[in-house]
Amino acid sequence: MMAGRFVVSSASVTDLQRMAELARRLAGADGRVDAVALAGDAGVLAPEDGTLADTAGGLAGLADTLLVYEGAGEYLRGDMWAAALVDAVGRDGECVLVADAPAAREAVARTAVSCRASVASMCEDLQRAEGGGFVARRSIYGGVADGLIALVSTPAVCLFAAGKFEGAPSGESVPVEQRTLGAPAYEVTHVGDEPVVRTVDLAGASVVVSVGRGFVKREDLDLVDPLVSALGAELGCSRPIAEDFKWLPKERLVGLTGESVTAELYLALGISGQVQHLTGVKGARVVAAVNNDAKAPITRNADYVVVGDLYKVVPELVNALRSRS
Amino acid sequence: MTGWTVDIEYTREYLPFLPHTATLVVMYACVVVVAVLFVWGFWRRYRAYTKGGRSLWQAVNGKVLPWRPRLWRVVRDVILQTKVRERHLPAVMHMAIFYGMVLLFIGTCVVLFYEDVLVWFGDFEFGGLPYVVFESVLDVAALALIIGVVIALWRRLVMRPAYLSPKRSTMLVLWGLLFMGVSGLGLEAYRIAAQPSEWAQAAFVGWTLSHLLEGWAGQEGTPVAVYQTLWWLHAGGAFALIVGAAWTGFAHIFVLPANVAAHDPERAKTKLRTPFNLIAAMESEEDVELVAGTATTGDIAPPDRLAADACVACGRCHDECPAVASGRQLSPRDLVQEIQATLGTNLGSAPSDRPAAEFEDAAWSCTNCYACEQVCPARIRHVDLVLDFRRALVDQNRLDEQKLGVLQALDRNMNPYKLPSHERAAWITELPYADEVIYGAAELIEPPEYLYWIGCAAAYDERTAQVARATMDLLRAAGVHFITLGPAEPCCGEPAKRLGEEGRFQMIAMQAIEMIKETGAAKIVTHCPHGLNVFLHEYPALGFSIPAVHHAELLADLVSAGRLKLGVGIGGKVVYHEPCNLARAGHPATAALALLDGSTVLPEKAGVHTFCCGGGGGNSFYQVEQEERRISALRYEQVVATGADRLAVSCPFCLTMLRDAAAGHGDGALQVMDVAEVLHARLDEAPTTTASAAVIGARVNE
Amino acid sequence: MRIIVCAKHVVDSTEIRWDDEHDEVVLRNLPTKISDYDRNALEAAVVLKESEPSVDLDVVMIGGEAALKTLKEAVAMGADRGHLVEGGWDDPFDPLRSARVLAKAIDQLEEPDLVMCGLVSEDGYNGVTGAALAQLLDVPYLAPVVGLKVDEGSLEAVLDVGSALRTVKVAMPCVVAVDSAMNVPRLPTVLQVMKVKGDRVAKMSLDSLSLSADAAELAHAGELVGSESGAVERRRVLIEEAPDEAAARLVEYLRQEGVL
Repeated sequence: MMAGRFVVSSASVTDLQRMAELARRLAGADGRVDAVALAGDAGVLAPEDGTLADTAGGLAGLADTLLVYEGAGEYLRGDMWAAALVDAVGRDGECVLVADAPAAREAVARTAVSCRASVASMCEDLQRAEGGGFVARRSIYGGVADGLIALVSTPAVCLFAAGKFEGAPSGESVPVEQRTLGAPAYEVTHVGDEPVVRTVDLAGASVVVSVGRGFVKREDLDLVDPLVSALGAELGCSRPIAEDFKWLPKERLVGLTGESVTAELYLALGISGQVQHLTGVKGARVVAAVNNDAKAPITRNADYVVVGDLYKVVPELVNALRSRS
Repeated sequence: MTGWTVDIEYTREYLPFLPHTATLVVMYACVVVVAVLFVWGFWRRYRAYTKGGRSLWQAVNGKVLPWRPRLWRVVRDVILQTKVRERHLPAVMHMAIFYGMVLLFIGTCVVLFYEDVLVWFGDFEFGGLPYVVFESVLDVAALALIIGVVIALWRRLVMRPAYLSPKRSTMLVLWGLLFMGVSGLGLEAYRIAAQPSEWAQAAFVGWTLSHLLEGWAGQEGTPVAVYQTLWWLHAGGAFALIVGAAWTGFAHIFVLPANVAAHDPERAKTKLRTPFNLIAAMESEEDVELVAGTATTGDIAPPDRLAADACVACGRCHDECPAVASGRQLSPRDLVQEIQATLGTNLGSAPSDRPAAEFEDAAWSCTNCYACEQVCPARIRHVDLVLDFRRALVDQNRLDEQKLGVLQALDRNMNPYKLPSHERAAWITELPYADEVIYGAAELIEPPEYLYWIGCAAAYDERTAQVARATMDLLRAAGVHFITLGPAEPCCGEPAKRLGEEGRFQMIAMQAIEMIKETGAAKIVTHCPHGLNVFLHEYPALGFSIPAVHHAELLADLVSAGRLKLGVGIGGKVVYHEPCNLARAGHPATAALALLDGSTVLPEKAGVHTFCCGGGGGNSFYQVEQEERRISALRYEQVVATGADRLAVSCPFCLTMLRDAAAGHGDGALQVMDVAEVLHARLDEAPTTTASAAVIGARVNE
Repeated sequence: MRIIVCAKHVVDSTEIRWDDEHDEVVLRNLPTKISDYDRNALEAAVVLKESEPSVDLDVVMIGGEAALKTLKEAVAMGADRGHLVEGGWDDPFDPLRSARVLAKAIDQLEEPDLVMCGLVSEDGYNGVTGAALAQLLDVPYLAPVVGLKVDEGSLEAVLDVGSALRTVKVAMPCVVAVDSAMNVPRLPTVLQVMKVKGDRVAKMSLDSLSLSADAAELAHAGELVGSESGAVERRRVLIEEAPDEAAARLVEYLRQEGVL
């Protein structure tokens, strides 16, 4: 395996570890992995969730050096990030790995243009190609297929989906090398930030529990409260609940006239699965259902279907979840 | 033969107790003024209708009017008061006023004709038996007028139904009419009391009243002055009413018949207008200005202005409207009244131009159920007004995400459900007889008799798909040679049409028409009344006509021809909910009822007066925020009130809406089924699944 | 003020499917359209134009003959004119090539104050083209934009950075990438698209952009070289047991799926 120099960077420590681990795998023992951090007026901006010491410690056994670029400004800006990456790539950088975050795409794009690189976005995995270069694996066309993207030019710049680091760092903290960024290329005035408090976020929730007309009375919806909190879920519903009976506000409606979910788990309770509803469920990874009619359309559109009375099954589900945790 | 008529020497003095010449001079001077005001009033109206230089006549559907059906409709609606008679108390009220007024007007004209016209041509005297009859008839008329007006006032002041909001001009006219009736009888009573005669009893009301004035009437001084004052007030009242008939809402006595005459009796109730023809426009050498909808009320076409002006705010539409019942921001009555007000035709209202945006809530609250049009005595086509506002709102990009999403899905996926076209009717390919019913897969020895149109609902909704499966089973069991377009079937375009995106509708329709033609099918059968309406009434406007039937109609024919072996079925009491697109479009419930088992019953609102499920006019695909009750819930209560065990429907939208409404009632909810499913349950033997096209062809040939 | 919106001509993502029989993504004979996020960008530009009539709004699109209809749709949304760069298929997996062609095309047009595009494209979801374009034009890049205000040569934008809505101000020219949350794009009616006459859409050949077939700008740096089905067929596992056992089993399954 040929040796090379990899540059990794991320907005969070865990993503940086993940990038470094992957780079280490591809770089081999002889290769080199340089992690890039940015520090600004308010301390470390990338990764923003750790001090330099934490980061250097977290990269133990994964990276060779932590390059810290001072002077990144008030908040993490894509153009400043790109300037750091371009500097880190230098003349011999072979590959840049960045995990997705706000400003990450700008950083990746500007870096790729500046370095006359090839670029791949939304990567899930990266391999060396047989004739040189890299091949990235990513989901294409909204999940219809998994595609392999050949990155021909060097360096290869890859943007990975955000994720979690499963491994563990080992050994000593990596050495830190301080560098300084020049003045920003563009003047951007920061007027202010307005913190966002999101109340109902069905589209972004990782677990959604939805209720349908299998519930007879409005008060019966109380039954799902413990289940929702046990799963840390967002509560959704089918059309009759929001539009016909108005038991829940419309912002909780999943389906054609409401939200489309992208949850890891979608749990449908007492939902028969009319087409208008299923439209909004397509994006869920795992669909589970509790329904008393095995012939209902939801059966064909779910991974796991408990056939039974939801009034009995739901409390048992809460018990089962609690006893396991 | 006429011998006995000469025995009656009865006549009356013309203009008694009044200075003859002076009265005539003043009266006819007034007549000239009144005539001028009257003509002016209608000239203003005509100008208001044809504002912007558009012709009223050309716009009456731009074709030569078939005058016979129009004349017949005017006779029925106006002279026979057919529409008015549909409601009992208002029927008595209006007919009493109408016939009373007509007779009294004719009576006055007859007198004037005899005394002021014929007098110049010789010695004609209005007397004898004809005069006796005349006197009696006029008294009956006056009495009728008074009774009618009293009922009208009673309804507005005492009963005060919600749908009847008293307008000031209406009240003024009613009080005026009451005064005319009472003062006329008073004058008559005075005359009879002052000049008693043997035949005076003919004017039985005046004669009865005359007893009160005996000994007083006819005396010099106050009595004569009172008489003269009352006479002039009566004459002035008459003049005021005539002027009022040109300058106020009372003009309906002329405008309404004009609108009835302009109404196109050949256009089906459920057919929307075709504002332009894309193909014609694209093929045209000239630059055709294509306009969609009414961006402001000023864009409303002359015939629709005439229609709006014909409205008397009787409120029948308001009373029937499901949107009103559900508390939505729409009252067909108010919609038309507001448009009428913008015309500035009535005294005290100035012409104005209101943007379509002001009618946004009303336009999207409508379910296109036609209940308003069904009951309108003025034959106003409210849905036309709604659609023109929708078209303008679409053109102005004023759609919310839901409606935009539907139009976008029609464009991208050829269905309103935002589901990929390649998933369309996937279930049909899994049928055991798939190869025999999918066009392209089936070997056709001869062109199929029917194309069975599955429709988007059955193609994508699993519940509605069961209806399609039941229908196909039944058609096969009866040996009907049919084919479907299967997964390749396009949308029929109805949602685009109803949402006001005419261009998209026509693009979709053109595609559908090509595919229908390709199958070579002679007829279309579909379980969807919305599709049926499009095939029967909208496609012909794009140059394609094909006979189309609702599945219930075809199945009923098959049942009566004995082509289906039927058992007893489930039994019990079944209530049938009629879809608007059938009931009000000339498809009576008889066909569907013939398919049902057990004892059948109709809800109170049935037939042409059926109540909407809430799903029409694109309402299945978007949410109306402002409403107190769901329309489907209101209808569900109506059908439950019949005490039935099951609910039969014959439209995919009704099926979905009423199932949703039923779902809230837990275990006691009515089971909702399509009529084809009910019939399917009665099938004695399982339908053959192996019959080849050849066998089917042979059966058809028999 | 001059605005150029870069709109992408894409295959309708809702119609794309995996063909098990031929083991490939089906892209042929599918309807094409303006990429969804670019419609948000167009909408935002049209809204700016509606509030300030002096705004001159162009749309630039890369594509073949089939893209002309899509370009007309884009113009029908409210642009003054459209420019079709006849550059063949706008490859979703090579955003740098798209950015280079767009940069060349923008160079040929009257200089814009503002270049707008969607945050990502409906087919590639890369989120790279706009920023790469900004780098090529050497101007600031703002994303994901959910609010815009133009004021005398400077632009105030609200960016959704997840934890906050960040307001920033830059001098124009600049490139902004619009998020779908910013607006609901209008849908031009068939009639409105029909009314876009030929003189409002112009074609630019690659040659006219000094991009010969072997130009470095056109060389593919990234390329889709293989694909396999990404479909998640639902498992349809029926659990028909007593409530407590069924609940335990479901939790077990979900645990195995790693979603708890």
